[in-house]
Amino acid sequence: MGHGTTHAFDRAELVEQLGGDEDLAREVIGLFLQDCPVQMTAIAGALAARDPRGLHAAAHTLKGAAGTITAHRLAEAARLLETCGREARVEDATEAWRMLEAEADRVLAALRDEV
Amino acid sequence: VRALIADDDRVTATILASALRRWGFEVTLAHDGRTAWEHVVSHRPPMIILDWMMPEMSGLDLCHRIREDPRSAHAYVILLTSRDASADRVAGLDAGADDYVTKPFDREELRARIMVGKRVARIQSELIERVSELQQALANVRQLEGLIPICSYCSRIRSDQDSWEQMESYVSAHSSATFSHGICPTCLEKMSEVGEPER
Repeated sequence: MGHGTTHAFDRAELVEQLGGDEDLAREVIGLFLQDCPVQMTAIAGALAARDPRGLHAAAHTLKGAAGTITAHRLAEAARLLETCGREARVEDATEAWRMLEAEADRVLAALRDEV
Repeated sequence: VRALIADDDRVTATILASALRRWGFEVTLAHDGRTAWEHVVSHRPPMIILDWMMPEMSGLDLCHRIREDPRSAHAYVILLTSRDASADRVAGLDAGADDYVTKPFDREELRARIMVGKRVARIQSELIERVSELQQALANVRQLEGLIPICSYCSRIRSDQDSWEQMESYVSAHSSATFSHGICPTCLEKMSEVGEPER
Protein backbone atom coordinates (compact mmCIF):
# COMPACT_ATOMS: atom_id res chain seq x y z
CA MET A 1 0.00 0.00 0.00
CA GLY A 2 1.15 3.50 -0.76
CA HIS A 3 2.81 4.49 2.50
CA GLY A 4 5.72 6.10 0.70
CA THR A 5 3.54 8.05 -1.69
CA THR A 6 3.87 11.80 -1.96
CA HIS A 7 0.15 12.15 -2.68
CA ALA A 8 -1.95 13.47 0.15
CA PHE A 9 -4.37 10.65 -0.53
CA ASP A 10 -4.88 8.03 -3.22
CA ARG A 11 -8.13 8.73 -5.02
CA ALA A 12 -7.99 5.63 -7.24
CA GLU A 13 -7.37 3.37 -4.23
CA LEU A 14 -10.20 5.01 -2.29
CA VAL A 15 -12.71 4.54 -5.12
CA GLU A 16 -11.57 0.96 -5.59
CA GLN A 17 -12.04 0.31 -1.87
CA LEU A 18 -15.56 1.66 -2.24
CA GLY A 19 -16.36 -0.79 -5.01
CA GLY A 20 -16.20 1.95 -7.66
CA ASP A 21 -18.89 4.04 -5.94
CA GLU A 22 -18.04 7.72 -6.76
CA ASP A 23 -21.01 9.09 -4.80
CA LEU A 24 -19.93 7.22 -1.70
CA ALA A 25 -16.36 8.54 -2.20
CA ARG A 26 -17.71 12.11 -2.15
CA GLU A 27 -19.83 11.32 0.91
CA VAL A 28 -16.96 9.93 2.98
CA ILE A 29 -14.62 12.74 1.86
CA GLY A 30 -17.27 15.16 3.11
CA LEU A 31 -17.43 13.31 6.45
CA PHE A 32 -13.66 13.32 6.79
CA LEU A 33 -13.50 17.07 6.07
CA GLN A 34 -15.90 17.57 9.01
CA ASP A 35 -14.41 15.04 11.42
CA CYS A 36 -10.65 15.49 10.89
CA PRO A 37 -10.53 19.04 12.38
CA VAL A 38 -12.55 17.78 15.39
CA GLN A 39 -10.08 14.95 15.97
CA MET A 40 -7.13 17.36 15.51
CA THR A 41 -8.63 19.61 18.18
CA ALA A 42 -9.00 16.63 20.51
CA ILE A 43 -5.34 15.68 19.96
CA ALA A 44 -4.18 19.28 20.54
CA GLY A 45 -6.29 19.40 23.72
CA ALA A 46 -4.78 16.15 25.02
CA LEU A 47 -1.26 17.42 24.27
CA ALA A 48 -1.94 20.70 26.07
CA ALA A 49 -3.41 18.85 29.06
CA ARG A 50 -0.55 16.30 28.99
CA ASP A 51 -3.19 13.56 28.90
CA PRO A 52 -1.70 10.36 27.42
CA ARG A 53 -4.99 8.42 27.43
CA GLY A 54 -6.80 11.21 25.62
CA LEU A 55 -3.94 11.49 23.15
CA HIS A 56 -3.99 7.75 22.52
CA ALA A 57 -7.75 7.65 21.91
CA ALA A 58 -7.95 10.76 19.70
CA ALA A 59 -4.88 9.87 17.61
CA HIS A 60 -6.18 6.30 17.24
CA THR A 61 -9.50 7.49 15.81
CA LEU A 62 -7.78 9.86 13.37
CA LYS A 63 -5.39 7.09 12.34
CA GLY A 64 -8.29 4.83 11.44
CA ALA A 65 -10.18 7.49 9.49
CA ALA A 66 -7.05 8.70 7.64
CA GLY A 67 -6.09 5.14 6.71
CA THR A 68 -9.59 4.45 5.44
CA ILE A 69 -9.61 7.58 3.29
CA THR A 70 -6.17 6.45 1.93
CA ALA A 71 -4.31 9.44 3.44
CA HIS A 72 -1.46 7.13 4.42
CA ARG A 73 1.10 9.74 5.51
CA LEU A 74 -1.48 11.36 7.75
CA ALA A 75 -2.33 7.96 9.19
CA GLU A 76 1.37 7.37 9.87
CA ALA A 77 1.73 10.71 11.69
CA ALA A 78 -1.36 9.85 13.75
CA ARG A 79 0.15 6.44 14.53
CA LEU A 80 3.30 8.12 15.93
CA LEU A 81 1.13 10.27 18.21
CA GLU A 82 -0.94 7.26 19.21
CA THR A 83 2.26 5.48 20.27
CA CYS A 84 3.37 8.53 22.30
CA GLY A 85 0.01 8.41 24.07
CA ARG A 86 0.07 4.68 24.70
CA GLU A 87 3.61 4.81 26.07
CA ALA A 88 2.80 7.94 28.06
CA ARG A 89 5.51 9.96 26.32
CA VAL A 90 3.49 13.11 25.74
CA GLU A 91 6.64 15.26 25.82
CA ASP A 92 8.04 13.36 22.81
CA ALA A 93 4.97 14.13 20.72
CA THR A 94 5.96 17.64 19.58
CA GLU A 95 7.73 16.54 16.41
CA ALA A 96 4.94 14.11 15.46
CA TRP A 97 2.33 16.81 16.09
CA ARG A 98 4.17 19.21 13.72
CA MET A 99 4.20 16.48 11.09
CA LEU A 100 0.52 15.74 11.65
CA GLU A 101 -0.51 19.40 11.36
CA ALA A 102 1.40 19.90 8.11
CA GLU A 103 0.08 16.67 6.60
CA ALA A 104 -3.50 17.37 7.69
CA ASP A 105 -3.38 20.78 5.97
CA ARG A 106 -2.19 19.11 2.78
CA VAL A 107 -4.79 16.31 2.92
CA LEU A 108 -7.70 18.61 3.73
CA ALA A 109 -6.74 20.94 0.87
CA ALA A 110 -6.53 18.02 -1.56
CA LEU A 111 -9.87 16.62 -0.36
CA ARG A 112 -11.60 20.00 -0.63
CA ASP A 113 -10.70 20.00 -4.32
CA GLU A 114 -12.63 16.73 -4.67
CA VAL A 115 -16.01 17.91 -3.45
CA VAL B 1 -29.46 -11.01 7.30
CA ARG B 2 -29.33 -8.24 9.90
CA ALA B 3 -25.94 -6.76 10.78
CA LEU B 4 -24.77 -4.31 13.44
CA ILE B 5 -21.73 -2.11 12.76
CA ALA B 6 -20.19 -0.37 15.76
CA ASP B 7 -17.45 2.18 15.03
CA ASP B 8 -16.92 5.66 16.44
CA ASP B 9 -15.24 6.78 13.20
CA ARG B 10 -18.04 7.92 10.88
CA VAL B 11 -15.87 7.55 7.76
CA THR B 12 -15.19 3.86 8.39
CA ALA B 13 -18.74 3.19 9.59
CA THR B 14 -20.27 4.76 6.48
CA ILE B 15 -18.02 2.76 4.14
CA LEU B 16 -18.74 -0.47 6.01
CA ALA B 17 -22.48 0.15 6.02
CA SER B 18 -22.53 0.81 2.30
CA ALA B 19 -20.49 -2.32 1.56
CA LEU B 20 -22.65 -4.56 3.74
CA ARG B 21 -25.86 -3.22 2.24
CA ARG B 22 -24.48 -4.03 -1.17
CA TRP B 23 -23.70 -7.56 0.04
CA GLY B 24 -27.32 -8.05 1.05
CA PHE B 25 -27.30 -7.11 4.74
CA GLU B 26 -29.81 -4.99 6.61
CA VAL B 27 -27.49 -2.63 8.50
CA THR B 28 -27.73 -0.75 11.80
CA LEU B 29 -24.97 1.68 12.87
CA ALA B 30 -23.79 2.48 16.38
CA HIS B 31 -21.06 5.02 17.19
CA ASP B 32 -20.28 3.95 20.75
CA GLY B 33 -20.11 0.71 22.69
CA ARG B 34 -23.11 1.27 24.93
CA THR B 35 -25.50 2.00 22.05
CA ALA B 36 -24.14 -1.08 20.29
CA TRP B 37 -24.82 -3.26 23.35
CA GLU B 38 -28.37 -1.94 23.68
CA HIS B 39 -29.02 -2.84 20.04
CA VAL B 40 -27.53 -6.31 20.53
CA VAL B 41 -29.85 -6.99 23.46
CA SER B 42 -33.02 -5.62 21.85
CA HIS B 43 -32.55 -6.79 18.24
CA ARG B 44 -30.17 -9.78 18.45
CA PRO B 45 -28.42 -9.22 15.10
CA PRO B 46 -26.83 -12.44 13.81
CA MET B 47 -23.81 -10.52 12.38
CA ILE B 48 -21.87 -8.00 14.47
CA ILE B 49 -18.85 -5.97 13.32
CA LEU B 50 -17.05 -4.16 16.13
CA ASP B 51 -14.34 -1.57 16.32
CA TRP B 52 -12.03 -2.13 19.30
CA MET B 53 -11.51 1.37 20.66
CA MET B 54 -14.84 3.11 21.16
CA PRO B 55 -16.26 5.52 23.72
CA GLU B 56 -18.46 4.15 26.56
CA MET B 57 -17.53 0.48 26.05
CA SER B 58 -14.70 -1.08 24.07
CA GLY B 59 -15.23 -3.66 21.37
CA LEU B 60 -13.35 -6.13 23.55
CA ASP B 61 -15.74 -5.63 26.50
CA LEU B 62 -18.64 -5.95 24.07
CA CYS B 63 -17.28 -9.29 22.84
CA HIS B 64 -17.22 -10.62 26.39
CA ARG B 65 -20.77 -9.43 27.06
CA ILE B 66 -22.11 -10.83 23.80
CA ARG B 67 -20.71 -14.27 24.60
CA GLU B 68 -21.89 -14.24 28.20
CA ASP B 69 -25.50 -13.40 27.34
CA PRO B 70 -27.50 -16.38 26.01
CA ARG B 71 -29.56 -13.97 23.89
CA SER B 72 -26.52 -13.01 21.83
CA ALA B 73 -23.98 -15.79 22.46
CA HIS B 74 -24.54 -17.37 19.03
CA ALA B 75 -23.99 -14.16 16.98
CA TYR B 76 -21.06 -14.04 14.55
CA VAL B 77 -18.67 -11.32 15.72
CA ILE B 78 -15.87 -9.73 13.71
CA LEU B 79 -13.44 -7.35 15.42
CA LEU B 80 -12.36 -4.74 12.88
CA THR B 81 -9.55 -2.65 14.28
CA SER B 82 -6.29 -0.92 13.47
CA ARG B 83 -4.67 -2.66 16.45
CA ASP B 84 -2.54 -5.09 14.52
CA ALA B 85 -0.15 -6.53 17.12
CA SER B 86 -0.20 -10.30 17.49
CA ALA B 87 -1.07 -9.96 21.20
CA ASP B 88 -4.11 -7.85 20.24
CA ARG B 89 -5.35 -10.53 17.82
CA VAL B 90 -5.00 -13.14 20.54
CA ALA B 91 -6.83 -10.96 23.06
CA GLY B 92 -9.60 -10.25 20.55
CA LEU B 93 -10.20 -13.89 19.68
CA ASP B 94 -9.91 -14.90 23.36
CA ALA B 95 -12.58 -12.32 24.20
CA GLY B 96 -14.97 -14.21 21.94
CA ALA B 97 -14.58 -12.70 18.46
CA ASP B 98 -15.05 -15.20 15.61
CA ASP B 99 -12.72 -13.27 13.32
CA TYR B 100 -10.23 -10.42 13.48
CA VAL B 101 -9.65 -8.00 10.60
CA THR B 102 -7.21 -5.09 10.66
CA LYS B 103 -7.77 -1.57 9.32
CA PRO B 104 -7.39 -0.23 6.76
CA PHE B 105 -9.21 -3.29 5.46
CA ASP B 106 -9.15 -4.72 1.97
CA ARG B 107 -12.72 -4.67 0.64
CA GLU B 108 -12.59 -8.03 -1.11
CA GLU B 109 -10.97 -9.77 1.84
CA LEU B 110 -13.59 -8.34 4.17
CA ARG B 111 -16.36 -9.44 1.80
CA ALA B 112 -14.99 -12.99 1.76
CA ARG B 113 -14.67 -13.09 5.55
CA ILE B 114 -18.16 -11.70 6.05
CA MET B 115 -19.55 -14.36 3.71
CA VAL B 116 -17.86 -17.01 5.87
CA GLY B 117 -19.63 -15.42 8.84
CA LYS B 118 -22.95 -15.41 7.01
CA ARG B 119 -22.56 -19.12 6.32
CA VAL B 120 -21.66 -19.92 9.91
CA ALA B 121 -24.54 -17.77 11.21
CA ARG B 122 -26.98 -19.61 8.93
CA ILE B 123 -25.76 -23.05 10.04
CA GLN B 124 -25.96 -21.87 13.65
CA SER B 125 -29.54 -20.64 13.32
CA GLU B 126 -30.61 -23.84 11.54
CA LEU B 127 -29.03 -25.80 14.35
CA ILE B 128 -30.83 -23.77 16.99
CA GLU B 129 -34.12 -24.32 15.14
CA ARG B 130 -33.49 -28.08 14.87
CA VAL B 131 -32.61 -28.36 18.57
CA SER B 132 -35.80 -26.56 19.55
CA GLU B 133 -37.84 -28.90 17.33
CA LEU B 134 -36.19 -31.85 19.04
CA GLN B 135 -36.84 -30.39 22.48
CA GLN B 136 -40.48 -29.93 21.49
CA ALA B 137 -40.71 -33.56 20.35
CA LEU B 138 -39.01 -34.73 23.51
CA ALA B 139 -41.46 -32.75 25.63
CA ASN B 140 -44.35 -34.57 23.89
CA VAL B 141 -42.79 -37.96 24.56
CA ARG B 142 -42.15 -37.08 28.20
CA GLN B 143 -45.86 -36.41 28.80
CA LEU B 144 -46.36 -40.18 28.81
CA GLU B 145 -43.73 -40.73 31.45
CA GLY B 146 -44.41 -41.11 35.14
CA LEU B 147 -47.25 -42.75 37.06
CA ILE B 148 -50.42 -43.34 35.03
CA PRO B 149 -53.47 -44.42 37.10
CA ILE B 150 -55.27 -47.08 35.12
CA CYS B 151 -58.42 -49.10 35.90
CA SER B 152 -57.52 -52.80 36.28
CA TYR B 153 -60.85 -53.87 34.79
CA CYS B 154 -61.63 -51.62 31.85
CA SER B 155 -58.15 -50.13 31.30
CA ARG B 156 -59.50 -46.54 31.38
CA ILE B 157 -56.99 -43.96 32.50
CA ARG B 158 -57.69 -41.29 35.05
CA SER B 159 -57.01 -37.94 33.35
CA ASP B 160 -57.92 -35.81 36.38
CA GLN B 161 -59.59 -36.23 39.75
CA ASP B 162 -63.06 -37.12 38.47
CA SER B 163 -62.77 -38.19 34.86
CA TRP B 164 -61.55 -41.36 33.31
CA GLU B 165 -60.93 -41.73 29.63
CA GLN B 166 -60.34 -44.48 27.13
CA MET B 167 -56.71 -45.48 26.79
CA GLU B 168 -56.86 -44.60 23.07
CA SER B 169 -57.98 -41.03 23.57
CA TYR B 170 -55.57 -40.54 26.50
CA VAL B 171 -52.53 -41.72 24.55
CA SER B 172 -53.61 -39.77 21.44
CA ALA B 173 -53.87 -36.59 23.49
CA HIS B 174 -50.51 -37.05 25.21
CA SER B 175 -48.37 -38.22 22.32
CA SER B 176 -48.16 -38.07 18.58
CA ALA B 177 -49.14 -41.79 18.35
CA THR B 178 -52.28 -42.81 16.48
CA PHE B 179 -54.19 -46.09 16.66
CA SER B 180 -55.17 -48.58 14.02
CA HIS B 181 -57.77 -51.02 15.31
CA GLY B 182 -57.53 -54.79 14.89
CA ILE B 183 -58.09 -57.91 17.03
CA CYS B 184 -55.48 -60.09 18.74
CA PRO B 185 -55.56 -63.93 18.55
CA THR B 186 -56.55 -64.32 22.26
CA CYS B 187 -59.56 -62.06 21.90
CA LEU B 188 -60.46 -63.68 18.61
CA GLU B 189 -60.60 -67.06 20.40
CA LYS B 190 -62.74 -65.68 23.23
CA MET B 191 -65.10 -64.18 20.68
CA SER B 192 -65.59 -67.54 18.92
CA GLU B 193 -66.14 -69.35 22.29
CA VAL B 194 -68.93 -66.91 23.14
CA GLY B 195 -70.27 -67.59 19.69
CA GLU B 196 -73.19 -66.02 17.92
CA PRO B 197 -76.11 -65.20 20.22
CA GLU B 198 -78.73 -67.99 20.10
CA ARG B 199 -81.86 -67.33 18.22
